[in-house]
Amino acid sequence: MKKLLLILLILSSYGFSAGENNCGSLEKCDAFSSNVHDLYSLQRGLGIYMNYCASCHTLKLLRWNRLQKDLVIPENIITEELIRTPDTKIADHMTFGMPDVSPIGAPDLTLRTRVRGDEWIYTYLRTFYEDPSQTSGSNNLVYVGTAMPNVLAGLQGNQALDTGGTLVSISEGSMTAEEFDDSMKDLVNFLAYAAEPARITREKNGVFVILFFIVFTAVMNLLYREYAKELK
Amino acid sequence: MASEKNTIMGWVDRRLPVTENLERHLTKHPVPKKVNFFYLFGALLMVVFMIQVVTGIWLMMFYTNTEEGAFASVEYIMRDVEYGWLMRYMHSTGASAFFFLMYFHMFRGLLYGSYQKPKELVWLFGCFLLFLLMAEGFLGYVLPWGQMSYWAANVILSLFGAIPFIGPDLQVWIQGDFVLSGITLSRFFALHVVVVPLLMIALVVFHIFALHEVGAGNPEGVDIEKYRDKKGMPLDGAPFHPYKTFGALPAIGIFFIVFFAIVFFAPTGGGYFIEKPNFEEANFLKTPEHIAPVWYYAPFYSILRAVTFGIPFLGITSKFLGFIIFAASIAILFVVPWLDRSNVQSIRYKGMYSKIAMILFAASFITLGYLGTKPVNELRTIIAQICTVFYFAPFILMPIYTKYEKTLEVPDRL
Amino acid sequence: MSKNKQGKKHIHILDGMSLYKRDKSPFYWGYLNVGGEIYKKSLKTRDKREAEKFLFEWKSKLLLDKSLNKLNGNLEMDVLKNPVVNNTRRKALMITSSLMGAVTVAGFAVPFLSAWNPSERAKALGASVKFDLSKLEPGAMAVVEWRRTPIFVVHQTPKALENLPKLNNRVTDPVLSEGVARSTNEKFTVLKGVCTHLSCAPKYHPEIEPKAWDEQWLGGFFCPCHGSKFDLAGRVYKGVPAPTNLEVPPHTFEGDTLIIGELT
Ligand code: FES
Repeated sequence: MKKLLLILLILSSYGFSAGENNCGSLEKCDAFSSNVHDLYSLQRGLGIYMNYCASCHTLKLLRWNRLQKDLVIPENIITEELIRTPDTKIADHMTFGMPDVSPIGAPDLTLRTRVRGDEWIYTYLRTFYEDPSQTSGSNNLVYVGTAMPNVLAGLQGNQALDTGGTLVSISEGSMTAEEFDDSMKDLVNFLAYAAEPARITREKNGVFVILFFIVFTAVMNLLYREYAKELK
Repeated sequence: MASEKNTIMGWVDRRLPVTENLERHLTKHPVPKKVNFFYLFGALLMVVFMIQVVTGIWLMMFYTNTEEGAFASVEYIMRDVEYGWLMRYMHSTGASAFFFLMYFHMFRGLLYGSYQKPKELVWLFGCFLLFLLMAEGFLGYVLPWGQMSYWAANVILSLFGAIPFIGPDLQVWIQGDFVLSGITLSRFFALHVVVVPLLMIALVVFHIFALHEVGAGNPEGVDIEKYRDKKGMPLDGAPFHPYKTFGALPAIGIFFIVFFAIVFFAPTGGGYFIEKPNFEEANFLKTPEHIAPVWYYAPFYSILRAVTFGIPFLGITSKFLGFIIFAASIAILFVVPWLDRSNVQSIRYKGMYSKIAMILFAASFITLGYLGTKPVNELRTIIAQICTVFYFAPFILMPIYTKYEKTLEVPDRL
Repeated sequence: MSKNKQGKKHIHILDGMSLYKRDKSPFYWGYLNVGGEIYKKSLKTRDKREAEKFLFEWKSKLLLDKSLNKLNGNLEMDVLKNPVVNNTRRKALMITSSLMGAVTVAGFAVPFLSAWNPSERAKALGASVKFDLSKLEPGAMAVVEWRRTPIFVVHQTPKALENLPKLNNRVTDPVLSEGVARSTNEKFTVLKGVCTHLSCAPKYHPEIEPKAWDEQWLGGFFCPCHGSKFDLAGRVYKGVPAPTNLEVPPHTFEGDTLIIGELT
């Protein structure tokens, strides 16, 4: 009976996950979980970020030199091609000279993936559609009524909502659907990195810590058994 | 003996009996030779307490306890301080581990009658420690000053406002402001890092001294003090060191494997240990869509929410009644030593009703915990109400069923 | 029926053996006096005959335990009776586990000690600073803040450069290898404005004229706190409290720009 109780306890602590699945007008967000160990993906994500996001959004908690170290980018590329403004130092945060609260209301993106989750952002970026009733001319399935214009239309092409409520492509972008999805994965990977730069070291070195404690447990168990003989 | 030795230790011992006291209270202290894994949670709790104290001190070195600085300083720790992320995750995971171990430790107490005469005080100190731990966790949860910190604290503080007559004034007094603000944050910081931990350390000392006075129990409920050797040591006892100290080491190893697996690979625990909205700075004007307590408060939060009715003719609102029952769910643990009338200690020798009661209690506690993290709906409220009844019933009926049920005979020796 | 001291009703069985009832218990309780030691317990039965049987069984068990106790007069804690002797194995395990323990402690210490290193913010604040030299007149000194310390930047006059070698035998450590102006650029001297005695800020006195503290003053720094004297290149005079020359911070010249601090 005691064992039954235990099994019940253990099972019940794993069986469920916090909160309700929340994905705007969609039933479920598209599955995606970020990976911060693919250096090239992070670099590509940075590229998309600089081209399409950085003109309105900030990363006010991420330092240029941290980015340079973690993403293995030569310093002159950072200073000459990415920072561009002469007053910005390499140890500064990636705010692009914008004030902390953007005048057009674009939120800071540093912690977004931690607030919304990878899946939400990934789905959000891919579900813009044309909606003339909006001031920006576009709407979003995940965040209905979003103020963000569809800056990615050039890559993805335009989409519209058909009568059944599903998205249909109405014009071609510079990327195929798969290429676009992959780029968005890169972007979310990059944003996930920005949300927690320490995650790279954390996940890399955690394995060794756990391996060490497995050996620790084994040795300590032998030691205990040696003395436990006397307890019989 | 040691005091006659011509060593540094001998010199010290002649002036301060260190060796003698260490031997009496620690290394040679006799404990039952046969116990099961349930008896390891106490040692693990000491380990977690130490982790919390040390990481807490380090976090305190970098944290800013102001409304403007708190949230940013946590991100400063996560990014700019070397290994700051490790300190923070160890502290947040440590909080969850603390509760997890505490619940098992106390459940062990209930199963094996670790509260029965003469251990009432040990149990009482333990209950106080649970209460302090809950307070400590609550205070600490406010400090990162995220959305969930702010709004969860708001919910709990407004509970005090439900107390008739003095409520609203009491709430303002606790907050030090008309709303929850930076003033509240500063005092919560002081309580979290100094007052409550000091009280906890004192109580842990009392808890252990009281335990050493009356002797540790065992799953059989056998009194090992009955048969003693010539030196007055119990025959079924074993010196604490090396048998128990070495016994704790593998357990600590397993604990660290699980603990660091969480710290390194799932520090937010899927939103159970650190909730998503808490990565957004507190915003007075915008409530998160769904406020859920951290998992370790969920059972009690569920009980609070399950009370959807008041007692109108006594002028008790449902909010206040909820608060009373919520408080009672913790308070009832304090009186367990006087509710149990059984002539045996351990569940192994108690009767059917005791066993059913323990299962009911555990099952309802888990169900309440599950419900507490979910948004309410009608069905969930009804289930929570039933579980609340099952949570209390094993205690309220305890004096009756423990007295009349048939118990088995306890062996003389372990 | 008899009554004992507490006033409970006892049913006498034999000498030192009796049954009794307690107020709140439905069961019979047994009372035993074995060699002067009193034992009492519930016999867990409502039946009197059964209770008598249990009482006898209990007594014989107690007697047996007692005689056993007498036989092994030196009964010890069970664990101490049968020690396992396998010293090499035990020693080896002790050493391995102590080592593991030491590694664990060291492993825990690393992050806690590293956390005290300058954080990224401190490093950002301590990053190198730039200074435009084109506006600094000969003979003038500018104070630049770097890592919260005043940095003295002196534009040496030709006269001063001429005078410096004359002081070689009046200063403790002429360090001619560093160049006359103790700088990679002959014209400019860069010094930490912190007295090497007890950290006051020395005052700049470039004038070549007799001073209260020195009749033959050729220009330099004077520390008002305890009267240490340094020349224009920051070299310390003999016979003053300050032990060493004023420190030269890491710096580089890029054309007209002076960069104080390490280049990253
Ligand atoms: S501090 Fe400058 S002389 Fe003492």
